[in-house]
Amino acid sequence: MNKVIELIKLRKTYQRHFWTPVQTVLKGLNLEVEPGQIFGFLGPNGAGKTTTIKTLMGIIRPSGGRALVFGKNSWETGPKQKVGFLPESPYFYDHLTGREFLNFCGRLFNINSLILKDRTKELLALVNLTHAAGLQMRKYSKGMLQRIGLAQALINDPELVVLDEPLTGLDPLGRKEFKDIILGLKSKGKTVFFSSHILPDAEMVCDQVAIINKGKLLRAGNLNQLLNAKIKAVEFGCRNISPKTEKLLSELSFSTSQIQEQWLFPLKQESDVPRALEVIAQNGGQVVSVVPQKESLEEFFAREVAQDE
Amino acid sequence: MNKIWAIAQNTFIEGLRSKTLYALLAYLFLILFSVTALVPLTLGEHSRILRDFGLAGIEFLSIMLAIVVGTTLVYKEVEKRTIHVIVSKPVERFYFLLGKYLGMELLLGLMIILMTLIFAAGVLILDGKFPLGLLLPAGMAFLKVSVINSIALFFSSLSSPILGAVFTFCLYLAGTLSRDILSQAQLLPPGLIKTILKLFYYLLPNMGNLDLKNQAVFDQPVLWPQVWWSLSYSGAYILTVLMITSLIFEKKDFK
Repeated sequence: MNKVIELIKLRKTYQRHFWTPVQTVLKGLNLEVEPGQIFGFLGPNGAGKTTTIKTLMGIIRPSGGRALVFGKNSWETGPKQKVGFLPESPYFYDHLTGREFLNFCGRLFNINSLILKDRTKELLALVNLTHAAGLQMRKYSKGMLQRIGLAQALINDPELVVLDEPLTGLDPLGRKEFKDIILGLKSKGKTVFFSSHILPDAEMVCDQVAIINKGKLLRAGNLNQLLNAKIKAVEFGCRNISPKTEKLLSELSFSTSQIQEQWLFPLKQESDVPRALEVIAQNGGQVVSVVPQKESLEEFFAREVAQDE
Repeated sequence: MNKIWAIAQNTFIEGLRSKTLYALLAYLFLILFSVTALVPLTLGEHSRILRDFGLAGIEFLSIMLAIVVGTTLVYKEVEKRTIHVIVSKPVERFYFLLGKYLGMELLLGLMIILMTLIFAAGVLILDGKFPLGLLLPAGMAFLKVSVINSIALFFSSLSSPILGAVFTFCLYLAGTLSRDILSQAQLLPPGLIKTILKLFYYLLPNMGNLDLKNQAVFDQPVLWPQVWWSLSYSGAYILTVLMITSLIFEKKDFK
């Protein structure tokens, strides 16, 4: 299958002045994104996420290696016809209204004016900005700029949508709407590549992730596979238990806690579940829940980065 | 072409909605000042004074506008990162530059037309007639401004607006003196200094080539060969500057 994005030993170096040392931001990054994926590109501040995205969008050129979008060099204009991009902390033309801005962006794709008019209306509704369509963008809040930014990224009905920190600056409701839009894009077969600091949100929408740190790739793969491999405990919930049952179950657990009538025992191993059920059956009590405790993306991320430090 | 036009229109609207129209107001004051304060002191030379002031005012204010707005054109796009939105779309970087340049040309053209109308009204009130020959120096002012606009765009792609404005203004001043540089060079014996001065003469925009104010003020006939030469010269100069700007801009990394 053709890759939507392919980074091959991508390197980027900067030198502010010829007398200052060369700074290497990307150190031979390899990455592949398949069509239809929602790909979370994660990393701490300064890891090289925005530099990678800028290279992909042709805003900067690689110092070494290759950045391919739909199989072509990222700075070529051809593949950009099928790409939508929302920059980090977007700042657009103050003097234009939201509607004028979308019209301007559409014209850069040579979109027919009649189609563009409908598309603008549709996108303004999608990002909940119909009421502010005639307002100059200098009067937009940060969240509104983020919304109009997403709308302009979708103006050409792109096959690939690249979003740099799309959830930053949005309130919880806005974040939910953005996540719904991202999931909606996936259902239409689009590919979404986005960087984020907000890991719980990323965990909810991504099916693939890559973690980078200090310009190099730490891990990449299917999110479920990466996290499923790490069941850290099984939370065993029960009630109406006797002191003896409590004692026996606590021997199988990391700790014991009681919330009102309910007891929680985080079992040390998945294989202890049958034994815990047997204890309840023999000594009385009622099983309420058995929940495997997976490692969250946030924990996984923190561990991977800490190992690299 | 549609993409270049979209960028040009955006630049034009941005210019109109910013404070550039104040230049027009300044021109209106200049004409009113010439008519009410200077003309009574001129002992019958009132028409010449108004023409001098009016035409020089059109040129000076539009050059200032080209320098102040032109040197921020690309710089502002890079600083505010609006260029990320454009570069990430299927737009050649040269198209972007050309769009910015043409948008600024539209703005400068409009300003010159409006200032010429104010000037014409002033001359009409004072003399009772407006010789059409006076339109030619206004047109030539547009040529000068177009050259300066291309230089401002060049510096806007390379440096900060303040440095860009200083460099562009210096080039404009040096350009108005370029014939003097050549005549000085011709007085020197052959050698390095003479070669350098001649090189400067050819590199600097020759503003003297584009000046027809004196003929118009003194109602002299139009020298059409000079007009055609001016058109060709400014066209070639602008194209060269835009090509050099594009070469530098093509592989530029945007922060």
